[in-house]
Amino acid sequence: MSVHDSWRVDAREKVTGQARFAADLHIPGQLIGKVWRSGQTHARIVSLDATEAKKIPGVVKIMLAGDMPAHTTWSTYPFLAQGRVLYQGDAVALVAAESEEAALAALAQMEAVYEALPPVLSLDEALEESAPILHNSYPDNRVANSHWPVRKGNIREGFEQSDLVLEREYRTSHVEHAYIEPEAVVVMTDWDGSLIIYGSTQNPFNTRRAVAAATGYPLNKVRVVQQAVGGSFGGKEESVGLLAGRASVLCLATGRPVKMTYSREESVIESSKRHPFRFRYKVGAKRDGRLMALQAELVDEGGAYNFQAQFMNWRACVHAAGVYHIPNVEIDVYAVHTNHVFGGAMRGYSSPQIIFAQESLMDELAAALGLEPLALRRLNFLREGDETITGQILHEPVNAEKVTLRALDLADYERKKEAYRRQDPDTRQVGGIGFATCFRGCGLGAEAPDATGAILSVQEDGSIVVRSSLTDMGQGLQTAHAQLVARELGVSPARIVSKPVDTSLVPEGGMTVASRGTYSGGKPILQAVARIKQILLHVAAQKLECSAGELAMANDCVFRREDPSQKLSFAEVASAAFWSGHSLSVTEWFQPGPLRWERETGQGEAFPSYTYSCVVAEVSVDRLTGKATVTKLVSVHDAGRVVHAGAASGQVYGGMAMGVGMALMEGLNFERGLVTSTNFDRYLIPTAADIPEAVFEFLPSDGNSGAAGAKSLGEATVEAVPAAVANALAAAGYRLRTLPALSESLLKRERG
Amino acid sequence: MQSFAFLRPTSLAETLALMSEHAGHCRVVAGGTDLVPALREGRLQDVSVLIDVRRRPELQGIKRTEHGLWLGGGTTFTAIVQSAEVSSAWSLLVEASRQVGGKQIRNLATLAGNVANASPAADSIPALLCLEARVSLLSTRGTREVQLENYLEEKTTGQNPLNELLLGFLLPYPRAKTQARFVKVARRQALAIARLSLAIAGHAEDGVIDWVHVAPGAVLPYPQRLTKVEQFLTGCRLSAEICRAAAELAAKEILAQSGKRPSFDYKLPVLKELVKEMLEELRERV
Repeated sequence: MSVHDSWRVDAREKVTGQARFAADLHIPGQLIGKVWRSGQTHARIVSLDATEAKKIPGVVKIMLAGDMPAHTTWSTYPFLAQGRVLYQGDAVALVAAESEEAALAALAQMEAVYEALPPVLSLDEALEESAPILHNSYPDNRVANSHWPVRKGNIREGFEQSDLVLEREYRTSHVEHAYIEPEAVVVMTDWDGSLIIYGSTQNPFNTRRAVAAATGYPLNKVRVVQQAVGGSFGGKEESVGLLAGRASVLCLATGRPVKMTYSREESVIESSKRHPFRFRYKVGAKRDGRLMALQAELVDEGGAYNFQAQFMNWRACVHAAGVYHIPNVEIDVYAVHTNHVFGGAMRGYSSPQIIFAQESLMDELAAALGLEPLALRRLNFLREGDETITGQILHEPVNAEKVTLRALDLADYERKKEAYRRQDPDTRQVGGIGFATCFRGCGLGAEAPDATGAILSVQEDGSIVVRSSLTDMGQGLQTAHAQLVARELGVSPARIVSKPVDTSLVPEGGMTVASRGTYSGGKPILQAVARIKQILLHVAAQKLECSAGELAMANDCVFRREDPSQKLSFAEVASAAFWSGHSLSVTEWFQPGPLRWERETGQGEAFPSYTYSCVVAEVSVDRLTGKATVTKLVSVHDAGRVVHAGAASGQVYGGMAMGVGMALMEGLNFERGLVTSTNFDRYLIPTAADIPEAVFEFLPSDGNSGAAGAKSLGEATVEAVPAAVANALAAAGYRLRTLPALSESLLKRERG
Repeated sequence: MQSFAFLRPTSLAETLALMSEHAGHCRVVAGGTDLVPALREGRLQDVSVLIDVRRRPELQGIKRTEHGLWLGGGTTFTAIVQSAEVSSAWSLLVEASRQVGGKQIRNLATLAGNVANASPAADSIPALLCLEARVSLLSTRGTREVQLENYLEEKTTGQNPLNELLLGFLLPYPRAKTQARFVKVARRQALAIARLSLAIAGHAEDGVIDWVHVAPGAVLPYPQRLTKVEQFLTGCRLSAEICRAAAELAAKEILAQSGKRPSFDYKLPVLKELVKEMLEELRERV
């Protein structure tokens, strides 16, 4: 399979540099837009003065919050702050100028007076009784709607029945998406006065909402056209909505096209980050290892504004206990506001943090019980027919144990574990091997309707256009969709063009998140293919004078199964269908059935299907410097049926790299609330030289709810990696309960 | 980024003339890998002229001379890493050069640039100090040659009013049976600024140290040899105790020069361990 899956719809364009990103667009007459940011952690705006800035030659327009034509905010995020700024990235003025130089010169001339207000600099501070109140509507600093409880069984009895109770606290840090392409948009008006936004956006329909909020335009007068996107990972959401809204108001105020691109520093300062978490877990088990009770408080840092934690924390509550059967559970997840950049979606959507905490806990519990990590897990793994902590009976194949055993086997885990146990603890380099197993609810589940659409149209010459409502941001979704079409119609991928999302052309199909692009996004594609296929077979049957049921499609032909020499080329059939008046352009919509969820108890049907993953990590620690290196990663994923092996393997390798970064080095640094690591000289991500030997395997499985049997994969590839690395470090003698595992922390453990 | 004039002189004489004409607001581009980020971050607001010497043939070349190995200031780290000549007797410099930036940086960055920038964390300097490098400097008054230590001191204390161009380096032939090693501690495998580095060169006969040079990076205001440690060790019979004492002395000497810094909680214990380990190696290799 993998050999044939080496093509990608956008490979040539991307490799040769032909692919056009938003920053590559130059519209005649365009102005350059810039944002003037507060640079304050928390302050009252006393005055803003643009008098001198306006005098700079080439400056066309300067806008303050009072000049905004409609709303000053989009959901909770301000396009321009008014009265008060809550973090350094808050915009207080916009500039449009004839050139970048003039715009920057104007920024340098802006004058502001701020009165500093007491800041909230960590989630712990936010929870203090005397903490400053950041949003008057939320005097306890909790993010609106972010609390998601789970109540199952009787937690008190569960602990009473336990022979051993273990309590642990774990923490994670702010992680930057670090996509290679910073945010960029170009906005212009169409001849009918509507707006066209070309942008680097993960969710064009949400960008459209942001522009509508900023301009007061109805949605049908805002057209967002996605350009090639150089990575997003959940990040090009809030920041791009704000950017597009700002560029749009500048465009309308000046009557000129406006281009805005962020520098890396601006991108790091304003774009959302992986929410840092503080986990407080209490677990109870029988002496033999059976899990009896789990109590947990998961607090994440939402930052200055937040509209994600309410969704993310729902997913968090579902996954908080991992892939285990536990009869008595009490979980509370909630987010708090601080004066830091906001938390947002990032590949895994809380799972990488949770799995780190919860799988570290499992290893610690195993050690406390005197059990092997595998033995404890095997005793408690969820199995088919089991009930999850959120009260869902699992009817589909549950492959937690299978992926684990296969991954451990591939990694030669048992032998290596023994070898590491026998290693001389006094040598400078010590090693360890560890693993983590997890599951991931596929798609949006009970969070939101997982509905989406697609348009498939076959042209009279037999070429094909695929338009999904979901986006390709580098993950290869257009390729996966083209693959589904090619496979079902028996045509070569070369016939197919996949178009990026244009909000005026495709039905709004929700966000491209939750690893739903293939899992759900493939469904309307397959529905459309089925309809087209029916028409083509009907037409071909007439021509070949047989019944449609006797025909098959393969090798770009339609032929009689009994006698393949009786055939028509795909193009011939397409042409005949078109000229006989058939529609070969089909719009389809997938609407999932409703899922039950009871918020007060956290019980219901969370997700129709789950992806199961296990990652095994090997590490080496320099005892002298405290530096940890991941030397090998092995992962096995049950993602159902993989649609495109090439794109899927890209996801696995990328997920591993991201996981290594989160485990060992990534975390934003702040000084009194201001980010000090605003570029990649200070914010370190792994280089190619830091990426370990990588081995992976897909465990094929059937009987799930995904398109063509495909379950979620993109996010599943990263989420167990930090946990596996943490457990490998622990096996080497370094149990760290805070990520990233910096040399300083390791050395402290060594000396302590 | 600010605007600037980019000049590419066609001779060393013209280079010197441009340097004196634009004294105070020019910078010489030897590779640009430190200069360009500094310009981008607005750290060189007073600079309006860049003088590019990257193609000056006079600054190129690696060759053996009567007094040692000559390295033109414009020698890139890639050229050093690939040079059999440098490896033959000055492999300490190769070890350090290999760890500069990433491959693309090493293709551009030069030895003179690294030294003239005089970052406390410069990768090449501790190695050059241990190799007793001499620096050749050209000004309108002619050429002069100084020890690297003196050059760095003049540079960082602003004692040298001369507008000089760094022509190149002379690495004397190492003494017989020199042992040398360079270690860099960084947060990742490539493209990482040294959190700490250490170069040691020396020789021990029957366990007794004849001579030793010890130069740490990223712990002093500018890289220097730890002369008190060197003096303490010279003539000593290497033992675990002596290694430990030398390590303590190294930390003390650094603290005396740099004062207490927050990062020292991590750096000094690691540095002590590195000093011990590298001295132990010197003992074992004998």
